[in-house]
Amino acid sequence: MNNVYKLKIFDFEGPIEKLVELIEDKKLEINELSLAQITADFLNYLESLTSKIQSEENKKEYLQILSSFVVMASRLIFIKSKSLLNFNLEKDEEDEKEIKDLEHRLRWFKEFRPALKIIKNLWLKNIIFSRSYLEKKFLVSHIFAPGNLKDVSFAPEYLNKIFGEFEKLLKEEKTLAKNIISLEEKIKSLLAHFKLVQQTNFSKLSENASRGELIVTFLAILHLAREGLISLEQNGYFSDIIIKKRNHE
Amino acid sequence: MNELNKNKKLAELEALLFIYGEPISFKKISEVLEITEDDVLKLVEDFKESLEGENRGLTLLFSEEKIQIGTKPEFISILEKLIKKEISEDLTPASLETLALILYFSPISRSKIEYHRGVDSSFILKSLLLRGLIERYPDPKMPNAYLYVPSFNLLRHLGISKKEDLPDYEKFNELNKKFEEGKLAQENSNSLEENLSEEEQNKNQNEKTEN
Repeated sequence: MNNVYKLKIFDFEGPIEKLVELIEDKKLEINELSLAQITADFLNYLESLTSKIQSEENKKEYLQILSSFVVMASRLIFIKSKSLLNFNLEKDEEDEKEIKDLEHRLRWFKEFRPALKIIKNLWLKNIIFSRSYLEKKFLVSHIFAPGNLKDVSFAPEYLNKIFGEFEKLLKEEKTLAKNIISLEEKIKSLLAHFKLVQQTNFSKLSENASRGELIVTFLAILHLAREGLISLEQNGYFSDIIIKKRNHE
Repeated sequence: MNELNKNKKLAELEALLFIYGEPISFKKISEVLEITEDDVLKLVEDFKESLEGENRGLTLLFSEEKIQIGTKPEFISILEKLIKKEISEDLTPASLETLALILYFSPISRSKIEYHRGVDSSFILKSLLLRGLIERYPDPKMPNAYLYVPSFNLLRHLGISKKEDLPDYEKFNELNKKFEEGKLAQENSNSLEENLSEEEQNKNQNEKTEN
């Protein structure tokens, strides 16, 4: 599915190559006039692209690429309208520069275009083969096929080593589990705490707490404050936060 | 290196390239063979020459201070006999444009590729990176930007030893240089025109005030 989309999304040429192709098809020179002449062809091409937007999933990527074509189309429409209306308005420096730049890029690509054919013709015509790094394969086969299979005295030692590796993984899992404190649990425990006391402060709540617990405690009091169950006071930067229970009538 | 030592080192280089298989840097070769990098360059040059004869089936690939050993491109016929299948897969137009720019003008930035193609190229570059056809490294002159280069994999798929072996490599690079100079000249003349038109405007204004 993904592959299908990739083929499609890269199935079209860039705007510059397309323009060069359109101009060459009509055997025109590259200049403002010829750009005006091929505007309609380019718009048709743009339309055929937009009709290719099929899967919602990849729409974003399509649109990002299409936007470049739309920018190019709008530039062409501007050039076209200029030629139709025979604008003799004051020359806009920016516009002139942009059109000159576009012509420059088209001339450049026209000269470069034969290179695409060269690459296309070379592709997979002749291939140089090489091998992947030998050592990896060598080491792996070495471990899995010990030379002398009649002698299995090495087995217990290796099995122990293997189980040792597994044990390491298990231990790691346990320590991780200990450190996980859910925000929900913390809120519940704080609510229970406030049934007993009216006022406390952050340093008392987070006494002996791990870094993770500290953060969860902080998030919990922020949550409770937002809910309007507690109020928070702080007398200065970095000073302790005083937490008061709000009594609802 | 004397003649005797050199022959030994040539054999060692051949063995190393065979064992290593993948592209290996000149630096790494100098470490493993315990010779200077200058000697590595000379050795590699001699080794390359020794492979040129018709009675040899191997060749060397070069890119970015690395080399790799591989079979000569024409022996694809042997593989096709082995797997009884012709190898073919087309490049999409977007891939072709992008690869051609990278092959002829690398190291090249994404912005330059996009300037010449006229289209956002981030997805196609990502796809080519994933397929292992190109590589990239941070641009030393521009933070957060990358320079793209052909991979050994790409060279092998094209059956060329190094990018400079591409047909018309010099021609296209000359052309690019000429165009860039032309563009500079154009920009300069533009600014000249601007100056002129400003002068004219001043003149016009002066005339108006006189009237």
